[in-house]
Amino acid sequence: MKIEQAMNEIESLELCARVNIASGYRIFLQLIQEEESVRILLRELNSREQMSKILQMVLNRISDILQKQSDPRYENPSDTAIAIYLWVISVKDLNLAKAAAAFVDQAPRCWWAAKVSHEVLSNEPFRSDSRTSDWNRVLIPQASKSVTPTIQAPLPVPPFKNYQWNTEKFENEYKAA
Amino acid sequence: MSFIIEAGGPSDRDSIPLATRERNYIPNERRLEQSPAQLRAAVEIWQRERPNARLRSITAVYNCMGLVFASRRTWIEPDHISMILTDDGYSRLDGESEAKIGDIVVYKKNLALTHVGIIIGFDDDLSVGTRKMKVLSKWGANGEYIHRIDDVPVLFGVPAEFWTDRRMKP
Repeated sequence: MKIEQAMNEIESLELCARVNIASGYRIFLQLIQEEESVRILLRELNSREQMSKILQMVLNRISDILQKQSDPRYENPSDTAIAIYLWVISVKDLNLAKAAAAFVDQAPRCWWAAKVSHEVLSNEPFRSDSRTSDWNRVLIPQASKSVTPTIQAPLPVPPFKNYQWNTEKFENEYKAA
Repeated sequence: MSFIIEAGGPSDRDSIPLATRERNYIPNERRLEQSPAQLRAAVEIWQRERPNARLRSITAVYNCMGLVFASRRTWIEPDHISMILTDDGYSRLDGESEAKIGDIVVYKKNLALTHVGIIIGFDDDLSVGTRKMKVLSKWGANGEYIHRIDDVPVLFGVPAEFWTDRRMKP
């Protein structure tokens, strides 16, 4: 199964039904880890060369999904997929996951995704030493070659199209919380 | 950034007032309904996987804990089961043979609680002389099913504990 197929599977109704037999959050996390498509995504992320590209792909996917219109009477139909993507990012890069979680946290009518984002946001604080390099590594791949990326560097193009990233503001808010 | 403080707690507007007999608050959240397409997909997948389980109803609003302890009104995380069983005066039975209609079965996988259901009857198979319990339980956000005690998704594991609230003659 290729990465694109894995992502299609993660967004499928079938996978949604399978993992939504979970009666609680911990069980949900166990179930998603047993899914082949999730394992493939994680495995691909283990490859150092692929990691930035795939993280970018996953972030863009979250962004696209969240911008889709859905019936306000029902839960967000992509709730499970968003939760999985956010969890996958958190496994690989907690700082990046925190930023993505702040975005997901604003999304209405989410269940598992809201729980994952709350957990990510309440996890250990930002490591200020790694923030800039992590961001640049993922968001502007060429920056990974830079030995000492600085905080003064212009912020990269936000992966979420309608969201203006302000990492400094986010970090301050997080510290205050 | 917006944190929901104490999700499922009394101040969460998605929760309902719910307490044990000892008046301890039971954290809960009402889950929004899933779309018809999602519910249909869920019915189809379990019809295929568990053809002998009979669908009673399908909604995402409550889970197995909500069915057993909150009259199908809300979603309760399984982590709270110990408090509920203790406060509501349940006692653990020695095994399946002691369980009767109305008692509760708890499923576990790898020692972790995964699922809970209510015993609603017995299925006698005279040809092989076996008797299987019939259980009513809610499969996560999917359907509410009437099924044999061991006829559940593999992910639920196995029936591991039996609890009763029965009071004997004083």
